[in-house]
Amino acid sequence: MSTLLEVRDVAKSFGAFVALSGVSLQVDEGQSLGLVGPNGSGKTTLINVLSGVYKPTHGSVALRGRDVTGLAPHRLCALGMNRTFQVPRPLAGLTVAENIALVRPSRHGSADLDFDVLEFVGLARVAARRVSALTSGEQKLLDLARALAARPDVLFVDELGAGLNPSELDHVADLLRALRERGVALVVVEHLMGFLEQVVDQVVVLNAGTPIFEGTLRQAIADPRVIEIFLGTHA
Amino acid sequence: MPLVVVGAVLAAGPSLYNNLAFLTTLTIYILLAQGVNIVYGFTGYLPFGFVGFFGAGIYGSSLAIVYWHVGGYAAIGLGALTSVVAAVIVSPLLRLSGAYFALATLAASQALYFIVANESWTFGESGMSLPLLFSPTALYVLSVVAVVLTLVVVVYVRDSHFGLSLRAIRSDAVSAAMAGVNVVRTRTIAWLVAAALAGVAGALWALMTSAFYAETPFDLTISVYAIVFALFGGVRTVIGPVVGAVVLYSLYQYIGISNPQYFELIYGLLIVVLVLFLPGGLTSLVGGRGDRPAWWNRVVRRRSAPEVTP
Repeated sequence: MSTLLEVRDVAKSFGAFVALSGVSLQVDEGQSLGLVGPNGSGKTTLINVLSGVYKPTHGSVALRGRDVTGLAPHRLCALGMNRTFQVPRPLAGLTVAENIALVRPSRHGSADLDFDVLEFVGLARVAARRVSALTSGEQKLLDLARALAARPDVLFVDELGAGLNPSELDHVADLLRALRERGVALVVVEHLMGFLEQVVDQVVVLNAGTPIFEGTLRQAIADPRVIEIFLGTHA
Repeated sequence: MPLVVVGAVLAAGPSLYNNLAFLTTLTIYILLAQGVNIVYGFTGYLPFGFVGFFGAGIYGSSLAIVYWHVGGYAAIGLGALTSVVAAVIVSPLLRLSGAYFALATLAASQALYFIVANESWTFGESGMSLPLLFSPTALYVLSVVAVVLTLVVVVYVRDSHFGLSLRAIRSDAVSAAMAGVNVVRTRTIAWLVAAALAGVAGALWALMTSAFYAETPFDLTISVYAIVFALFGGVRTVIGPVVGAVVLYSLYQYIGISNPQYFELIYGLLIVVLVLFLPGGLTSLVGGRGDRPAWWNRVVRRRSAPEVTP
């Protein structure tokens, strides 16, 4: 497996507040990496930096060895990086089908994503509807479909499971596993450990903006440092 | 289809109401309202200083005629070009949003006004005076052609991937960017196209009026009218701004000219009422079910069937 995404010593500050510092991690082609940590540990900020929403204050991001640090989201989209949003942000004034028609697919994509994305996530029957007529679960699926329509090689999935009911959660876990089989590398931010266990190989644990652990999920939940940040020393 | 209808009606205009100055001014307002339609309707930026582009077009074409003795067509082209240049200069304002953008464009248009009104090379004090390059009829024909071409542009904006990108940006710029839309480039193009329309409108106005002071081209009322016409008819449609301009400007012609002070009041109230009760404009009442305001669906008691049955 060759390295797809390489993050080196990334830092992000907002004024005096340091949201991320010293973040280095690596995602291989087709790998599925979990990103866990308490609220405010910088998971979403990291996704925002990697997807071009924020420019990092320090450090570099490389995709297939090419420096992509600070590129605008549409450039990253064209190069094969995409994301979903924690609070789904489908384009509300458009229909479901228009949300997908808008997307210009990446030409780099090596993952096997040559399929109808609405069919894949199960939204084909509501293609003509406006986004405002969708349930929140359906909006999350549309957010995922929109990201997939860009044919990414690496997909950042920001708390896709949050707020879904158990059957929706199973559906989403199935989708992510199917994507992994099709060769899409995933970086999954999630609080639901049972969900994460089904979709990722490795996890990185963030605390206060810095990675403190890297390994399998099973190792992570047994690691004293990880237990400490989630539960406190005297638990 | 609407293109043909609008073209035919405007072409038949003089036989219906023989006042070419009024009809030409009406077409100029249609161009301005379509410019607002593209900037505000599709992109979501309310250009309160839109009149600045109109003024830039007026002065660009007029000065070219006075200093370079260009012909009428070249003057129109140069008027549009002047407005586009002005739009490029103020394009960093697109980084602002909402009321900040509206006010910043207003300030920019007034800055341009003060320059033009105070410089001697723009005839700020003596006033502009142009030779007549077109007969009133020829000018009217030209402005109808301009309207038809503009409608072609708006149809393209509505139906193309470019237009879809604009609507996406309007909805959520970050999400649009993740879909691969180059947000800055796309909205800048829309901005320049709208400015070019205002520039053409300005050049036509200059050719029609031929003698004027800077107060008139930069009158903020022109911005207000263009915005109200577009909103009243319905933005993000091709026909809406045309309907808005025809209805409201005719109304103004009949009762407003003798009482202009009431019209400003009426238009002010109209903006409030439109925003509250008819955000999609007049055309939304006959448009798709999803576009109609809920109160209208209740009034006409048309039961809305589910859009798609699962």
